[in-house]
Amino acid sequence: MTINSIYILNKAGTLIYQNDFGNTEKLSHNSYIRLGSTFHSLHAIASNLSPVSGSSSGIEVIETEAFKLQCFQTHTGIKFYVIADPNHQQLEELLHGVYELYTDYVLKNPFYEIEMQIRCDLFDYKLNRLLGVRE
Amino acid sequence: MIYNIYIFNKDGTCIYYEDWNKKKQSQNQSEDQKLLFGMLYSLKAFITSSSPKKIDDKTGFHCYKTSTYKLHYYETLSCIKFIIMSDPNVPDLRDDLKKIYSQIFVEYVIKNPIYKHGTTVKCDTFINQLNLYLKQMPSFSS
Repeated sequence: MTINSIYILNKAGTLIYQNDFGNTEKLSHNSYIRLGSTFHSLHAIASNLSPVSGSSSGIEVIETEAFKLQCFQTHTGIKFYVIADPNHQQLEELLHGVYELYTDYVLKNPFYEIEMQIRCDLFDYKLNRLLGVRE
Repeated sequence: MIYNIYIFNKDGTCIYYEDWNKKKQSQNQSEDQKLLFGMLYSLKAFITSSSPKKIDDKTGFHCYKTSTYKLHYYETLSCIKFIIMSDPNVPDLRDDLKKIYSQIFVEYVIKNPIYKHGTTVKCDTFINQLNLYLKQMPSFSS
């Protein structure tokens, strides 16, 4: 089971972390930022379109023929989403694991400014280990 | 359970809409329909860009899920879009959407000489057959 990409967006929809795994072809940095912002908008509109009364979350899963996208939004509005094989099953647990790493190695980092780009080597290292264990 | 169905033509006009098991009153239905079409257009562009592999523009997107509903999507080669919103636990309805297109829409709308392309479907036979088909599905009411 392959994980292709992981994105983290802040509550304004700005991309603060992105990483590709495996042999995915790279896009330009601006393309990743644009994709993150687009997903932020789609996430919000999807909750508006709910046919059920009461509040709805935004998009949690997108299924296509080539990949599956799973999204987890925290109570503070940070969005984690991952793009993986269509048949991958444990993406929800994986995203909670990424959230734990985010709280431990990014938020507890005194040099990290909230809402800014994540540049923490230890977070990168732990994230790669987490994904390595899952694969 | 199934909440509603939309059918859009290639211009983005909603040519059919019906809801059942109603849970929420819409303030402005035609605005909702435009919002949904625009959102799906953007979603398909997003999916094409995000995909690690080449993805087909028509058959690529299958469905998305939120905490309260699941949207099932099927687009024909002639760009007619069939959308069903259901509760999140309903399994994939793409095969049913294909049947709705090939056995109900083509038979009772496309083959109807009175029907003008691009206008709202008001054909009673189509509406009756569609309701008959959907209501016999196990996921319609539970």
